[in-house]
Amino acid sequence: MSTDDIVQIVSVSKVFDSGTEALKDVTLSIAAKSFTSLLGPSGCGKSTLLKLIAGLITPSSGTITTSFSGRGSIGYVFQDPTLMPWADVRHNVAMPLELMRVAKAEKIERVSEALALVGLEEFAAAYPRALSGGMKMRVSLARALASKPQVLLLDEPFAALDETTRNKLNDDLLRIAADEKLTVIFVTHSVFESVYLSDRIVVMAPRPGRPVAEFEPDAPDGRDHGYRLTADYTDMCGKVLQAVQGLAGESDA
Amino acid sequence: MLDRNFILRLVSPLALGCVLLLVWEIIVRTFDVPVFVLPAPLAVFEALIENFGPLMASAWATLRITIAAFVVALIVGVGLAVLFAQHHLMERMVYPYVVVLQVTPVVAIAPLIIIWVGYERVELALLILATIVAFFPILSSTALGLKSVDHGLRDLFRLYGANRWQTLIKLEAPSTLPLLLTGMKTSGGLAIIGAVVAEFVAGSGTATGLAWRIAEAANRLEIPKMFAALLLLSVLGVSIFFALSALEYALLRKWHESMLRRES
Repeated sequence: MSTDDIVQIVSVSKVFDSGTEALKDVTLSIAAKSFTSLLGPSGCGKSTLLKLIAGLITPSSGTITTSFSGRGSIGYVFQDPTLMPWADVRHNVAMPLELMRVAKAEKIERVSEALALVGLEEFAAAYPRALSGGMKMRVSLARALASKPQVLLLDEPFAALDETTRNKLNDDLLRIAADEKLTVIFVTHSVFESVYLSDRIVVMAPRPGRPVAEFEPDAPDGRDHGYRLTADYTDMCGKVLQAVQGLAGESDA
Repeated sequence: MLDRNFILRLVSPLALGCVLLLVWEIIVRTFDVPVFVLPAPLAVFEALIENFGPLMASAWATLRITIAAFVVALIVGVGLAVLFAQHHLMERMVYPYVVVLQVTPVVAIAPLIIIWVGYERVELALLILATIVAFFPILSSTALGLKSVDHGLRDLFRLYGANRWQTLIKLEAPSTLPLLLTGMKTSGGLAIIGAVVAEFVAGSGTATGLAWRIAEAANRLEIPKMFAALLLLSVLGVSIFFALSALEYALLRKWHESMLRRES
């Protein structure tokens, strides 16, 4: 494991109890403070790989070594907001800190910081039912940030949102990742989203899931919507799209 | 300020009740129905006033057993559900016997319970019997609630190193609350049914509840008094239901889907 790597995955396979082979012989390393997207069609094991990295499930074979440890070192955002409906926004964001028994004063400060990062300070007392889909995802992101994680794992967090909201959240995520110097592993099936966001794109093939191609978009720091109109962006989208469509052809055949 | 919907919900059943009582009174008077077949509402009301003291004492005796049985059912039901959620082997071992207890008619096991407990402690027998009738909805709804906790939230709690107690208190308990409250509303009604049935089965003994008053009035053909006792039983049942509904409203109104009014 290189000193720059924060996650080292070596020959990892995962077979579920049902017999489904989700991942086969995956070897991958993730550099610290990088933004890596795991891209591929549904069923290619992207989410499984994310859960393995988080330690929520264990591999059937192979090893996963991480250079982060301790409660709160990982922030996790699911495809659904996964909020506690009985708690207001403030208490949802505070949940990791309460479980980690963070002192009250620090907890209040960190919750305020996290809510400020996602622009939801005014909604601290609102219940999830009163929020839009995009706002719920912001709360979920704030909760993941509240513990000041080293690594942020996002499992298709914006898949269910409309394009405008998704683009806005993409920009927010880029800003937060840069400001907080986070390592981000982002699962998506959107080529365009992955090219916009990532330093590195790992394309995964389905049945069983495994990395089959990698791309390193050279996106400028502090990019905004204008980047989507550049030739660099569209060229990279074309290349990645070609790789993904090749997979679709392979699995259709 | 009370809104129109609330007033309608309150007034419409009361209005229907008044109309039905009026129709009842008219039918009894018009067709000169004998009092031992169907007493008129006014006769029932007179019987209630005449026997107010003894009937209220009996209502209190039944209510006491009902509340005690409900509380014990709540403790046993929630306790068993939590135990089952923690130890699945325990659930597999014990649950079939819980179901056996639930499907066995209480009138069939009442004589046994009374013999075991002793006629001198008939109130304890009533409590046990009413608890047996009442606890199953709480157990089954709580067990279902504990199994239905959002898997994503469970993963997050694991990720942040929550211990068993934190998971129970901060995740499983609030997540299960709506189903528990539904189970409690069902159990509240069953507790009063259990108390009355147990009192009927226990016979006279030292029992002084409403069931005994009903049986006594029926034997003496004091039908208006019997109806008055029935009326008090209904009032008890409805009061328990509304008290639990109010508790449900207080605990869920801010966040639960069932309490939200959709805007049109």
